[in-house]
Amino acid sequence: MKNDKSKNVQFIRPINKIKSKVGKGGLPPEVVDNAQKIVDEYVKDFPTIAESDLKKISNALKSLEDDKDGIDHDKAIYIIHGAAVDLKSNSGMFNKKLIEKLAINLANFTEGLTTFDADTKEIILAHYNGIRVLTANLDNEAIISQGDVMLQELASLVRRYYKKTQVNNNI
Amino acid sequence: MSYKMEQLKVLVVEDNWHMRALTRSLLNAFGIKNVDAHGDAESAYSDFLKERHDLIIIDWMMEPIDGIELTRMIRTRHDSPDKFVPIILMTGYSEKMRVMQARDAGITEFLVKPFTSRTLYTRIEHIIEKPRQFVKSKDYFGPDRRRIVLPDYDGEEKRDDDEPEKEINPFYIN
Repeated sequence: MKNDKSKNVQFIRPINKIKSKVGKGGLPPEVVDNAQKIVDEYVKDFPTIAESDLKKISNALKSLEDDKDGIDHDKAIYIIHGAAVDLKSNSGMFNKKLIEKLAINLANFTEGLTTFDADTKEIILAHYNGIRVLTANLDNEAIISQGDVMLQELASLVRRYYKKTQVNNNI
Repeated sequence: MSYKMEQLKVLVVEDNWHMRALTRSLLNAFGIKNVDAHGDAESAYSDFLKERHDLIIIDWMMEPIDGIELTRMIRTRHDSPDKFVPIILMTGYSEKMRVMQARDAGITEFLVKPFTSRTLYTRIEHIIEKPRQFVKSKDYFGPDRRRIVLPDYDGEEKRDDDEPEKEINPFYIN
């Protein structure tokens, strides 16, 4: 143990118990590759996984819309952002690429968002509805095939918002 | 010769049932059969008090106690049976600010979701092969937060009393 008295900081090197238990040699690459098959083939009910996050977004939006006295906008946006990040994680983990992209967009948009107005509500709601529709229609090829169009529309909506915000800031 | 992973006892704390099951299955596939999985921080901490696990994998976003708070409990509470236990924090967050927040809570490794089996294994391997020294100061207790050493850096040392790091131990982010 080293003790840096000038900063009153101690440096401690703990016993590497985990190393003493597992020994050496690593894991054979095929073991790690086979483990990935578990992820790829995991049987799951994605709508159930997504439901709690979608509900969080829906509830937070409702509380913002109701605009009750004392409502904490930052907290509601924080909840929406957290749910979007969680949706991104789970959809990515369970290979729902389109939903992952929408969730990433929503997470990026809500990261650092400080205002809630008609425009921001429209964008959040559009992403929420998009994710909900895709989640409820995972086996519907007709709807899934429209996903890229939906993504472009939403990206365009966000671009228009930022352009408008920039114009307003410059006035 | 390969790792004797069956010797390890791992604690998984994740409120999403599917992610919990998947993480447990991945660890089982690595040969770690002794996995305790919990859906909330409070019951997980109670289990840790009894079982004193070798490695803890925690999800960030949980309620009412999140992964950051649980990490602080493990690192600082008087009744914690092993304040040095390696902690891997799983999260969808990847922004620098979040990484810093997690690092300041005392996590050992950061694992961004979605992740692959290889990414998870790499974190575990890193913990086994490149353990980090701990720092105890007035404001912080946890793994040394100085992570990256540039081997080719030939400029002056920023602090007179700094000893050069002997290990390159980058903070992995997917």
